[in-house]
Amino acid sequence: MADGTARVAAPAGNVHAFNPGRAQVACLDGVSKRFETKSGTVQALDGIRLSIGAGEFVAIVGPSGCGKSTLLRILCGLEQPTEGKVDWGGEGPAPRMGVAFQEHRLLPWLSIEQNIMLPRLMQGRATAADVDRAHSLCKLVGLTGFEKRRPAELSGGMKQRASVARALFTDPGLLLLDEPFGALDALTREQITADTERIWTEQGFAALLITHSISEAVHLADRVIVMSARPGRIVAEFRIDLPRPRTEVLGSPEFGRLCGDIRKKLEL
Amino acid sequence: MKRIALQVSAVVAFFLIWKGYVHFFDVSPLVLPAPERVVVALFRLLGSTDTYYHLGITLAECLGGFLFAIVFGTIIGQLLGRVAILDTIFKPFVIALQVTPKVALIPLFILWFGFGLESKIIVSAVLAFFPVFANSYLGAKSVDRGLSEVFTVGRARQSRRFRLLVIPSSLPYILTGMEMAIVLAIIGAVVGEFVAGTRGLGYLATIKLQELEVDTLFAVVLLLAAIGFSLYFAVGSLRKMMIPWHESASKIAI
Repeated sequence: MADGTARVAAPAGNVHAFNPGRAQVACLDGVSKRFETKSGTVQALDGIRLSIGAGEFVAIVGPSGCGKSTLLRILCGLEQPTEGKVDWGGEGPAPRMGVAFQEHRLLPWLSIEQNIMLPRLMQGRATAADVDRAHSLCKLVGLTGFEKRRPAELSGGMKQRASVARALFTDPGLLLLDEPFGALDALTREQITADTERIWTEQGFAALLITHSISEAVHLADRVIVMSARPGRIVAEFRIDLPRPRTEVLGSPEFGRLCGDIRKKLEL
Repeated sequence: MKRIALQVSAVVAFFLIWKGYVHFFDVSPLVLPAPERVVVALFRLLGSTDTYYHLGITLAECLGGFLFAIVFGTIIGQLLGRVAILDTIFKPFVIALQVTPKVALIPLFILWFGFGLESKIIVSAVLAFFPVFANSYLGAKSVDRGLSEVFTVGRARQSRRFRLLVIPSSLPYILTGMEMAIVLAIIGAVVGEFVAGTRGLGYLATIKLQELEVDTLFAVVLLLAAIGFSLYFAVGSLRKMMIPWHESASKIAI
């Protein structure tokens, strides 16, 4: 379509957001998740079919409590699906994954460089090469000079950058971002979103972003998935064909129209 | 500067009130000696080599008990805090022992372990054990869930998880337990000596009581207070050394 979108026809019920004709990194096949709580059963996810291609940036937007975080947690192994399964590209092993959460979750007793190296430290001792990698990641996320500091000495935005650097340490094939910029102020958020696009463009990993912010999703993603309120189902999928870097087209009418279309879908 | 001036003034005022009370109410020196007499007795005490011998004994008992308490308290606290089945089995016993006034067990320990140092170390250890255990237990259960998930996602080795997550998370709690424990350890040592001691500052106090040398008795008490204060302060300083990253380490409470 002329305004840069390609809409997949959405029948009533669950949209199948598969993306065939592209190497897959992760594939959720009919995934449902039920939680048993004191007040009864909660159906968080219902029949999700979603694939993420290699090097693709996918964003999921949806109202609070729609299960989008649960979806991410199933991908990184923190939850197990009640029904359905997760396939990795071509029945192979799971790709290396890095996760950045909404809270920075840095260890307060370690320095920034140690925190970034944590994926290595969790397996054994770090080598000089690991330290070098941590330092270059510091540079990548804009934290040069803070390698030896403790998290308590950094601002919220900087801590979140360190968290993303840690997620990138293992050179992941899939980066999972669970509303990582939600707790930041607007200016920091804009900056860090632009930086994320830059890093993703340079490094080429696949990414899944969970966000409340429609503009953030349109800024970063190749595809935006819209989820319904609980029980979470996919109600729409938008392909974003805007040129990159998207920072240049943030104010454009196409960008605004896309955000508007997505917003309309969310209100349904 | 102002703080120190205020504290010094308070201590001076305390001595003045003490002197005033003894003087104006004609208090018998066998009940409450005047402060200057206690000070004189204190200097006499500090000039005698015997004192240091007794001090060494009490210190040895206290530190011995403290060490046992830290080792066992930390380990058992971590074990019960992290291994559910051990928790279920042993918790009732620990609680039963915890609510028993341990001081009442002292005659039992004397019976079992004799009149020497060993029984005092054990009394000291048993008293000091519980704050260390309780805090270590709490620490083991208080590992931040968010951080724990980071380790799960990273498929961390158990040993690394223990070293990088559990221990640092538990240290603030364990150190708090240690601060409480050192105070109890010295109480245990001294009370043990009261009940059945032949050496040590507690024993010295009972002797001075029997001889009605009340000035010296007060001096011994002051000396014990000073030791307790120093030990507590020493353990408190550990906090700044071991967990400089924790907010509690930036505030030393003196």
